[in-house]
Amino acid sequence: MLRYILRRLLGLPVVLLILVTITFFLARVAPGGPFSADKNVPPEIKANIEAKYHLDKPLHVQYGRYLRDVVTRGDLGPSFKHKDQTVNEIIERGLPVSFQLGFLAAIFAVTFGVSAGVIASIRQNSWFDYGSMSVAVLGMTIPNFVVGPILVLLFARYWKVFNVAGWEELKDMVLPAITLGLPFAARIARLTRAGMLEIVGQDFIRTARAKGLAERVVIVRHALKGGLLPVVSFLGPGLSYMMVGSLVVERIFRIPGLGQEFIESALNRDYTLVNGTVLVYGVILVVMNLIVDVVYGYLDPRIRYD
Amino acid sequence: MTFVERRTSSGRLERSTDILLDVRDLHCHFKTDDGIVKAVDGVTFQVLRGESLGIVGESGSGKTVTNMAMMGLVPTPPGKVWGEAIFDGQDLLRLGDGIRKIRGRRVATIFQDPMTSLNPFLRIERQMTEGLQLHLGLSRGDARKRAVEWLEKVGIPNPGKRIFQYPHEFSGGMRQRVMIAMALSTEPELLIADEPTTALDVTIQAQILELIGDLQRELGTAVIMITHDLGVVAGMCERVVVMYAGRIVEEATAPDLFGDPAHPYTLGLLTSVPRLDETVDARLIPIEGQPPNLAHLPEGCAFAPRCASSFDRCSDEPRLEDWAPGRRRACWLAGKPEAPRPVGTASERLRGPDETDATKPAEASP
Amino acid sequence: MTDAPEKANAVKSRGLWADALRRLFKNWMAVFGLIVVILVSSTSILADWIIPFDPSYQQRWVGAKPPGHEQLSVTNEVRVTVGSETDPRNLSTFLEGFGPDETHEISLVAHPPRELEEIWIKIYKSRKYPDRAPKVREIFFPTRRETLDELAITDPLHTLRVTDPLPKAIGDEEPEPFELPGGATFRVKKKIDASLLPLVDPERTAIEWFGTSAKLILQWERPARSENDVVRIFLRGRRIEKILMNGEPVEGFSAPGRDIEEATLDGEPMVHTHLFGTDDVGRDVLSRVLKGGQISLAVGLIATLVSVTIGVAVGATSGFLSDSQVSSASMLAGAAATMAACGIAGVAIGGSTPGAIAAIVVLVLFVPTSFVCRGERGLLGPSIGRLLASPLTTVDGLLMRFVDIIYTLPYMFVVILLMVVFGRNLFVLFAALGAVQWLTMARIVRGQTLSLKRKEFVDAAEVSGASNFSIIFNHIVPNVLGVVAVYTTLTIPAVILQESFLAFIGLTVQVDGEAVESWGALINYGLNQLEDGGGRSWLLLIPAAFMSVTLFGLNFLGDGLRDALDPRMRGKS
Ligand SMILES: Nc1ncnc2c1ncn2[C@@H]1O[C@H](COP(=O)(O)OP(=O)(O)O)[C@@H](O)[C@H]1O
Ligand code: SF4
Ligand SMILES: [Mg+2]
Repeated sequence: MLRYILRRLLGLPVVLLILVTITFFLARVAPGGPFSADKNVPPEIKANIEAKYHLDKPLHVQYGRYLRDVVTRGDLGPSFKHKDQTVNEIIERGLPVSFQLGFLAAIFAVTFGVSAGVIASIRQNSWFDYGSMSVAVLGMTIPNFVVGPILVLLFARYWKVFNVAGWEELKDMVLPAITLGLPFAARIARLTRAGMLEIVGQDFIRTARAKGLAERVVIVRHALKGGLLPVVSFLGPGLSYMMVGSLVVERIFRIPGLGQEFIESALNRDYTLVNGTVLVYGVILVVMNLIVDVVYGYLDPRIRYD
Repeated sequence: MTFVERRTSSGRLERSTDILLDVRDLHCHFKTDDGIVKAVDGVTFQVLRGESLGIVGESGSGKTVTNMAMMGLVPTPPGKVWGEAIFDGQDLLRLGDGIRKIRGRRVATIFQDPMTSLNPFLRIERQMTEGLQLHLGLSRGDARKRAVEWLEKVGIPNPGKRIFQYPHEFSGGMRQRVMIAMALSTEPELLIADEPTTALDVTIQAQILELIGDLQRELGTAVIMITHDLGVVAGMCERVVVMYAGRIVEEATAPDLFGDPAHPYTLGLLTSVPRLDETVDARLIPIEGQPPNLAHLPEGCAFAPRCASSFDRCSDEPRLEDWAPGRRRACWLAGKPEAPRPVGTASERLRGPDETDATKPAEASP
Repeated sequence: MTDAPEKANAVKSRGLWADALRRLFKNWMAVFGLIVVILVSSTSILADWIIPFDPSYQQRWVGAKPPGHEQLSVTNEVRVTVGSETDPRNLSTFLEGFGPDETHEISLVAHPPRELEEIWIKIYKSRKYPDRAPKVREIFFPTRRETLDELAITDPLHTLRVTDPLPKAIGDEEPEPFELPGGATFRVKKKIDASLLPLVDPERTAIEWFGTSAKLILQWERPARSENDVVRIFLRGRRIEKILMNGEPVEGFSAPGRDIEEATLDGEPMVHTHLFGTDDVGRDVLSRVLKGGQISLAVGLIATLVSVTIGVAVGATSGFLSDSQVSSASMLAGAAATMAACGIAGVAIGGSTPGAIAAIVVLVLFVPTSFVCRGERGLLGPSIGRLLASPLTTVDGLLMRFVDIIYTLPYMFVVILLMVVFGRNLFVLFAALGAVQWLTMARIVRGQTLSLKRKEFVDAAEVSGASNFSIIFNHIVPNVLGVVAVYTTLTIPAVILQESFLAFIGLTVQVDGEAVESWGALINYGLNQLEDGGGRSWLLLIPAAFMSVTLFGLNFLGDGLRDALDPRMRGKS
């Protein structure tokens, strides 16, 4: 196991190097430079700007410089569009917010999803089962850019229980976390229910019951671990769905997170910022996927990594 | 006072009232799309303390459901259980949650498939100690010590180390040994072994049966040996109950049953398997037809469509009645069933259908 | 016992689709889905005929009105045909009848365009209330230029909006006329904020146009005060050939060649019902939602159809030939087909920039190549195939690493990156969304083909000497169709969702410089229009409802189809 983690960690820099390279050259392939939208700029000023961002150097020099800065100092360069700000500053500002959002949403999704799924599986065919699973189908089919605005309409505009925008107090965070977490709660509930039903039908659960264990112990100790395996294996792709979802949610609730910065930079064609954010997302994904794999291996002893 | 007749080692019939488990008129029906499946339909039998009782029958005859219904392990719905299962004076079916104090403590169960009956996600240690902690009030450490002792007793090498392994690191036979250790470690009064050897290799089967027999003698545990394999019963059990379509069709001591089967179905079972004590040339006769659909049982005797001796009375339902001292059966026949017409010898059948007819020219194989 | 299953099989295969349909119609969720899909798509397609509003037509004076709003307004169109030697200054048109708190929208279209050399717009102030002159708040010009001074039309197909008031148009002095040189059809929209303007002397408060065009079309709309409300038009000029008002010849102007000093036309008040209300600039929400539906459904359909066609062709061929040496050739053919299809799509859509082409080449080239080379061991055939493939596999290996890395990222990020780099045009969108979808399709079909190939009826066809081609198209394709149908119905909502996601976050696809507003864009717009207390909620709820219901419908239908076609369900009730 340790060897497996080490090997995956050693592979990490390679992945990131390739990611840096791809995003760097992709941005340079783009027709029109980053400043082509600023029209009527006198040539000398334009040259100045290009010199400032080292755009006047040959491509390989630019690449070498960018790579050196990223690798040695973690420096992602200056933002093309936010004057006087570096990409690092912008990311340092946005990332913690996005992390909080993702964390809250994940907590919401896992708590609600797992408990609803477990209860639904225990009370199979009860009204709770049908009710929660119908809600889950709704939650999975309706995109969060529909759910979010409707929550805003109801809870922030109509009843005014929560705030429309911002990221300071808990009141700001409830709706975004729910919006982001809902599809995952729904998915997790369904996966949990299916997983639990499959496990509860297994012979070893009968064995556990035949031992005289209390039903609660049977569920918690014997069924939950296996029943949650599908949920755990969903967490890997789930994280990447969550990143996509956070783009929307941060926009709906005007949360100053990394997702907003990414969209802004994409709309403004602020290439250094696009590259920087994509790189950060890549790192998070790779690391989190590794963690998920390790957790999976821990939960299912039949899995062997080598 | 209920009593049970059994044969002593000298072959004499003797009455005993030392009844551990008294199952009376047990029913278990399942509601399915196809109708109501009468998986167990009025089963009555007794188990004496320290005795071993065999329950035999084709697969699907309701043996497992009988066991599960007694132990309150049938999921309801779709199942519905009624009747009585009096264990040491307490009706298991009316205990409610209290049955947990009996399950695993006083009645332990070993299931058919050791591959799936152990939890793959938990270490053997956890699975063995939880019962000991729960029922004997041991600490985790003491429970672990006890568990290691038991693993050693059932013949698992290096138990101190292996107890920390997961089930997938054990072979099938070893897992069944673990199951046996797990079941017996709380020293129950009754062990229900539901086809404990069916999923195992033949050589391992004998070892496991021997192990169960040894431990039973050592601990004085009563055993219900559920199996479709008459050979298993012959080697282990003092008394035998034969089930067909959710009912008991014959009950007898093992020597009586094997020497002198009273029910046509029992006879069919006996003549359809090769026996070690018979010459190779003994004819094998399979039971014709299929086991009945439990949701749509025929009127009268459930075995009638397959019964070589059936006659007009069989359209009424026969009841399980005393037939001879120490034995009961459910059949309208006045006397013993007649032996069915043989179709082939054991040795022929064992060789397989392709080679049965030696006169047939061998076909060119590709 | 022996021939019963065969008979049953024969019956089953004949009735496979009939059976599936019967099962489908028993599934009420799927039927609901089917009805919804038919309803939404037919109303969207027929929107242009059944809804009397132009989705982009603004009525600023109306503003946001809730569903069911009945708008009483005066709408008119006057077509004036004038003689050829008309002096530009001799044909002028006045529009009068402004009231308080009103905004008017008037458009002037000149035909044929080349004859329109110049247009002046003059705004007169009231003689009665000289201190309360009308104020021009906005003028929309069909140009890209931002100020009137620079009014040189570069691309008449683009609209740019001028928000500065025209100081010269207000006050005593006669406004300086500006010119719109000819060359195309112009549409001058003039919006006059009449809030400063009380009821004034109609003769003196007016907008006047001059033009040299042989035909002028004058359109205006403003709220009517009552059902008898009228707008007066005064036409002045010489040699007016014909005047049509709302398509009807105007009495008194039927004589060709007649000089007209001054004449009056009365407008007609009309009632429009906005079923789903209007947005903040008075655009009809229903027609906008249906237009959005057209776009969303079209994007979903096109991307899906492209990916299905290519996926099925490539998947079936490669699956069928998987263990022969021809497979590499077939896969290359598949790749070529893909590129050809994308190329055709690109030409058809017309937005192909070199960048977009590069994107397509990258996406489309490596995906099928990798598909060829990464398949089963025997995919390329033992000898020739491997020889042929060795340079390919090296390149493919590198490319696959590349793809693996790119796919570490969520797929939508890649699409966003591509749209940022190669521009937000339809072509890039289809390419980016379609590239992955067709690959999935090809994989599914290939798997299905491989398993079908091992079935006896294909053997039978082979033995009886049928060609590969006829086996594929007579036996395999019909049997693969089930999977394809299911996958197609499930891909459409996925693509709709992805496109709307992009539109919602602001990455709307642009055609001719204008954002194409799919449901996602409308939902975003509705969100931003929400007021405290929940006002204007219909702007959000209506597109959201349309989108959700459609997604539900498509998903239910797809699930229903899958259940109906599931072989395990076959023969069961
Ligand atoms: N949960 C259930 N629902 C419906 N039928 C069941 C259920 N469990 C068992 N049965 C039916 O009960 C019958 C007896 O099964 P079982 O006791 O397992 O047979 P045996 O152990 O003798 O092989 C079978 O026909 C089986 O289909
Ligand atoms: S009752 Fe009749 S049918 Fe049933 S076993 Fe006896 S003889 Fe056979
Ligand atoms: Mg059984």
